[in-house]
Amino acid sequence: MKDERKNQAERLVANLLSQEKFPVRPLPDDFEATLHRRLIEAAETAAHQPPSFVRWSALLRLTAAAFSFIMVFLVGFMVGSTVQKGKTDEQTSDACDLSNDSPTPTDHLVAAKTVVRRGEPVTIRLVYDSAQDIGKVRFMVVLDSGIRFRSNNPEIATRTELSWEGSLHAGRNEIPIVVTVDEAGERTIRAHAQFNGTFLEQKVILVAREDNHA
Amino acid sequence: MGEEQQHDERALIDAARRGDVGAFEALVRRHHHTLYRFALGIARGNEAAAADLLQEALVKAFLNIGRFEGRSSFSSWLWRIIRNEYTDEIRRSHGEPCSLEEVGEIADPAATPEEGSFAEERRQILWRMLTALPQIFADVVILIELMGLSYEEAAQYLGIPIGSVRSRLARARERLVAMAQKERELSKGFLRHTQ
Repeated sequence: MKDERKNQAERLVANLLSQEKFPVRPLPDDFEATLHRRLIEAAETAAHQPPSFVRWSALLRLTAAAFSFIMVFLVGFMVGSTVQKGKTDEQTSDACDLSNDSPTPTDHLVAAKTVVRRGEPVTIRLVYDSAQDIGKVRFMVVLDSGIRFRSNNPEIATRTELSWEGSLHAGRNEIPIVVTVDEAGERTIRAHAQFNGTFLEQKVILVAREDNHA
Repeated sequence: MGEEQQHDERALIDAARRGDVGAFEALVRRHHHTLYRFALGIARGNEAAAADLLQEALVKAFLNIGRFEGRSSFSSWLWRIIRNEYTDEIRRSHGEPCSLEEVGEIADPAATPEEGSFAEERRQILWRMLTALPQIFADVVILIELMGLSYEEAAQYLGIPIGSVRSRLARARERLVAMAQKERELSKGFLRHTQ
């Protein structure tokens, strides 16, 4: 009886699939010409005006489901991190382009890795290049054990994570965070930014060595 | 794809990133017929709507090509853009995932004179089943079963080995059958019409 029901279900699925095959038809004669015109229009629009959600929404008829993706694209995020060792201002890693092949907003992870001196202050600069102002961005920085925030405020200095709500303005945004690695070895700092259903993550790896090795 | 073709493709991608419309058109031209067939399926055979849908999706791909980093093939990146663009259209026109109610009654179009009505319901059911599947399974069903692509072509669009295409298709069929099997009474209805 069970096999019989399974056979029936298999036949049902096979019927549905065979009867719903997509039609094969030639492209309309004006397809390429119309596409060309629309591409030119889109290129000109993109080149001459900063993107705005409203205009793109009209152009692409995007629905709410696609909203978070569009935000990622329009925001044009380039997220990266630079690391300054002590007071030398030496940049040891370039900003990383966060754009992903996938159009779906997923957790992005950009890793920057650098060698630092154990016990010395290190400034991490989280860089966000935004095409427009964005409010209500939730930021969070999480430290591995062996790293601490450098702050005169003991309440902050003793914490292993910090979170706050802020905003990003159009253009380059830098968020400096000063930490110290107390233990030799590889330690990770994770920085999150979350807004409108989009979640971005950066990972900065600090390899702490004794003075004469860093 | 040969080395020379890959080089050409990379050059076209670079040009398209700089806003060269002609380069982008050259990149996507070989995919037009396959993607148009997909659009026709989504647009229920309406040629004008299918052309509009595909053009809109291609414009979106063009505007997003700066995000393509080459970690996947261009074909699979394009497929993801197009498929995502169509997803909302599918949901809008074919409804939410179903429980397969009445599926047995409409599985056999010959069982009733109102074939057109049944065909439409059949479409609804199939798409509800497909949207209930995980995307990785729905993709292989769409590409192979509905669009008639070969395993090799599907592998190219999905950016996975042919063996993975085969296994995903097998698992997708199993899931579809399981969905249908859940409705015992409906299966009886289906039997009434097919035996």
